[in-house]
Amino acid sequence: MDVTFLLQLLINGLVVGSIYALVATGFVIIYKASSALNLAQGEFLMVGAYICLNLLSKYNLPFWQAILITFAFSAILGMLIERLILRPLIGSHLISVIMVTLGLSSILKALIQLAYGTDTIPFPEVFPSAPVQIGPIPVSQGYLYAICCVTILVTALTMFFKYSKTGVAMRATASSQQVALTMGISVKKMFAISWAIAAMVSAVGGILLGTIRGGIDMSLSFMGLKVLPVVILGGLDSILGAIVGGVIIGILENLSGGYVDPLVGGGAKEVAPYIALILILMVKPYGLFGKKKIERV
Amino acid sequence: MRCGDFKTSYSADMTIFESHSARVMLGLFLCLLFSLPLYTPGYLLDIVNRIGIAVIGAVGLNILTGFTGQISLGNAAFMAIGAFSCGYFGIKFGLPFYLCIPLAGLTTAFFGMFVGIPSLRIKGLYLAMATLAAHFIVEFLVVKWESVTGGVAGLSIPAPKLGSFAIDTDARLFFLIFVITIMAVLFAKNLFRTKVGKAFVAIRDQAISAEVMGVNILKYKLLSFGISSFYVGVAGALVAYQAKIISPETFPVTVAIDYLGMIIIGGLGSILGSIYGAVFITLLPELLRLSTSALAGPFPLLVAKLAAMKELVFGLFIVIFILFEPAGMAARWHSIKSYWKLYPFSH
Amino acid sequence: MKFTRVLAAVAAMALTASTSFAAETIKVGGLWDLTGVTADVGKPFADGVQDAIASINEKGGINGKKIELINVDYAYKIPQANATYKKFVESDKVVMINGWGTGDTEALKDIIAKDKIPYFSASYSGHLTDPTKTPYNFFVGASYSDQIRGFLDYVKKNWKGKVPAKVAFIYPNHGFGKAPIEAGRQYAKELGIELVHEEIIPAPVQDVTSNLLSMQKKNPDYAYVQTTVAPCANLLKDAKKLGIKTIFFLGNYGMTEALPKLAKEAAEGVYGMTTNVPFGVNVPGMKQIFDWDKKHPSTDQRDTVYVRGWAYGLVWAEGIRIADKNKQLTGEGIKNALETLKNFDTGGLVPPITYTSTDHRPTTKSTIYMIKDGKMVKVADMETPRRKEWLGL
Repeated sequence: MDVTFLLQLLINGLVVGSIYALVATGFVIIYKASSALNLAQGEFLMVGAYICLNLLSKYNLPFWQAILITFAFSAILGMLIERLILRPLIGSHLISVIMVTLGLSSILKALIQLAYGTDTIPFPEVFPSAPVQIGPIPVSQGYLYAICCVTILVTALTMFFKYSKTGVAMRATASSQQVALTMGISVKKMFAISWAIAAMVSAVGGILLGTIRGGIDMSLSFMGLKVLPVVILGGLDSILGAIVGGVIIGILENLSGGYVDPLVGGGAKEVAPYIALILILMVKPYGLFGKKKIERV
Repeated sequence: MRCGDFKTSYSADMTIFESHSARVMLGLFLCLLFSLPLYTPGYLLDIVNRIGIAVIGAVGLNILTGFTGQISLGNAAFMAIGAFSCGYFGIKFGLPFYLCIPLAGLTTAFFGMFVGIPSLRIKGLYLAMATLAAHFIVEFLVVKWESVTGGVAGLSIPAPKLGSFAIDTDARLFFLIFVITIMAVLFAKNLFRTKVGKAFVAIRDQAISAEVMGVNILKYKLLSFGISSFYVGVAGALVAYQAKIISPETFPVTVAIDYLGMIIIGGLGSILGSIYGAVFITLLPELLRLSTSALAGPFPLLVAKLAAMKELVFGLFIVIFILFEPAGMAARWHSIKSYWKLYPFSH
Repeated sequence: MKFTRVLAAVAAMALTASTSFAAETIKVGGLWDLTGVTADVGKPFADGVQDAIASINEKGGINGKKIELINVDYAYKIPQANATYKKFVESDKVVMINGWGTGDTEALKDIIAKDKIPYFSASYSGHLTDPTKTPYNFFVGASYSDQIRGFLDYVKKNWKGKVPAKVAFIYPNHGFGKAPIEAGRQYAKELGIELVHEEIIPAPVQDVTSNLLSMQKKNPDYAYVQTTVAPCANLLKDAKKLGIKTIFFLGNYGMTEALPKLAKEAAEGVYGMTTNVPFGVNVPGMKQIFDWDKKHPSTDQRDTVYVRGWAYGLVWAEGIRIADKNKQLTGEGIKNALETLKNFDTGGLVPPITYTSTDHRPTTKSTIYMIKDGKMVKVADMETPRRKEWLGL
């Protein structure tokens, strides 16, 4: 049993999974706060990455400034989308909401393609590229920074939701909109904030991916599709589920890539998360940590 | 012109054609339709054939999603199963096309019912994701199961033959496709006048109440998956004959999203809506290509941006329709019709 | 303002329509990937062909007739390629097509033979070289199979160890990726080189760390990567992160000037095969490209693949010219004209091109380049023998 091989796969899975977790968290925040399913989450990630890249390479801003401006842009984008597109659809059929975010993802993808083309654009080196030795395995520094970033962000979000007034207000809105309204919470404001946070969180994911990969192109939007098994696995309304799900899927992908791919001649890596998804859904139809939906007649 | 509803019997209420003139109009339309191959050039006929196939697929998806309320993203996978099984039966067993197509439909129906089994436990978005997972699994199998599907290189489908008469030109395919399309649409329209169809709609509206009233949810959900998948499988088989070459790349997940777009824009829960949606979404890339190449003189960059424009327009139309016309084109047509029917009254 | 622009467009359309009735044009279909998974090399190739033809048209065209390239972007979607082919043949009535990808070219090979339309593909698949199977398929340069054989020859020549050299093949699981693999397997066996591993990678740009780790377990000395430049760059970066010591060889769509730009330090010391000279190399044919570049400057990349497209345009325009001289400007006439090309010189852009009615391999020469200090540096010229049993492999 090659332990080095296994450890390398696990670490890579952890890194990739933490980014999935990040994007999934954004998805879950929106679902929890406004019961909307944002299938355009992958495109938020892409927009964040491209804007940041543009700021870094075209305007040569220092990294911290670029990130802050990207956050501002993503937050505004999220709030605009919520106000213009999701607000009118409150209360409509689930499939309408799914389709409108799908349509939105097409629009965002197309706009990026028109603006930046489909070539891979190199991302400026933000982290030093020399790998760091952890035991027997060389780990790229970018990976470590990514894991650190994600951990900090997720901790910050958890504390925000637990202790800050706005965070508690958002949880209240997610739990019951009507009661929150009677308590004086502006539900509209909560919606807007949740979309803004989700967009920013995805932007972080996009920037991290860009620095790790060294370049960004249209394939970043596939993240959106990858995130779906993660949120389903973890449960649509659980942030903890998003994190656990993300890491599980990331590790699962890499393990199947390393061990199953040679057996079946490739392709297992892409399909493994989906097989896992079906198996988990059969046992826990609301995901690992999701709350069972009580249907009323 | 008639004004208002004057139905005096149950059968009159259930009828598909509300007046004699509606029947006449439909008859004229069909005559016009079947005369198309006489004067339409090959390339346009190819588009029309693809519309016909899309109609079958859209009606199938609408049965499952629009009428029974089960969101399915596995459409592309079902079409792939239909296409590859049709090819397999035709190539390996040498069966004629009038056996291959129904067999392909049945294979897909069987698989569809299998996918539908979890639908009793899994609902809503979770079910949609499970069907998406099924799509990727099917895609993986199609690539790996080389003995049946030809793997990455795909299958070259021999033309359907009636004795020595080969159906290989666009005109001949037109007749094959549209005869099946008309049968499919007729069957679907009538399905929702029967007990089965009404059970589907009951499941969509209030599954728990339906169960309480004695509708066997599992049986009808599976039946819905089965019938819908049969339609989509037949559509896939026709794609195989029409494209003549199929490979795993012929049915990516964007096809499933396109079909969902068709029934949303056309109208969920409406057969006529499926037809409108199918026509619209199939024609959209062609119209875009025509306009960008026509405008290629003063705006030469447009040609290179065509793929992005197609996505942009597709996304825009979906968002606009959902925001402003959530019941789809069928509803819009219905309101236009009733405006004329009731003029000068407003209701 | 908008209205006048539209009016101008309509007027322009009307004008071009009327002028196209006046002068006779030779219609050629151009099927490109400008926005799909191989657009990283599809776009410069399309630019190269289009510019070469525009340059020929500027100099008078073919015996006074202009070549009209009808450009369509099919984004590497095979159903789209089929539909566009129908449009080219039935509605535009083209006499020839310059296509792109392996998947769709191999899918169309029977129909183009039936319709007698010569089809130049940017795909160098060895499966397109046997006129008994694919009489109407052509390409310009050494086939993927000959490239991988060139790589194996180089390994054999330079291997100094006592045990046989270990190689691995890395490729995506589609027509383009798989094209040279069987040829590579057979030739490696013949040369006594040990093929220790074949790794299948996903086609679009994705994390390939687990794939590389799998490969590393077998510890190959060399690895041949058959994919386009963007996924190659991504793979090289992942390899560098993992500290993989294998020496990488890329195919002719991986070794381009874009590689060091995308992969930066990870591209250093990487080898690759080219079927044509990179941009700027001092050969007679480069002059016309420089002239064009000066007259029509552009921000689009002008690189090895651009030169490749240019060479394509020159070769098939020559075929059209010969066919027109013989008054046989039909698909079949152009095919016969192309098969008379013997050591046709494109000014040194590609090695001399020869087609015969029994062999559609234009050349078996390829050149190995290496990335040094961020630039492509020539290493060696390779030529594989023209064996009959390798026709169509």
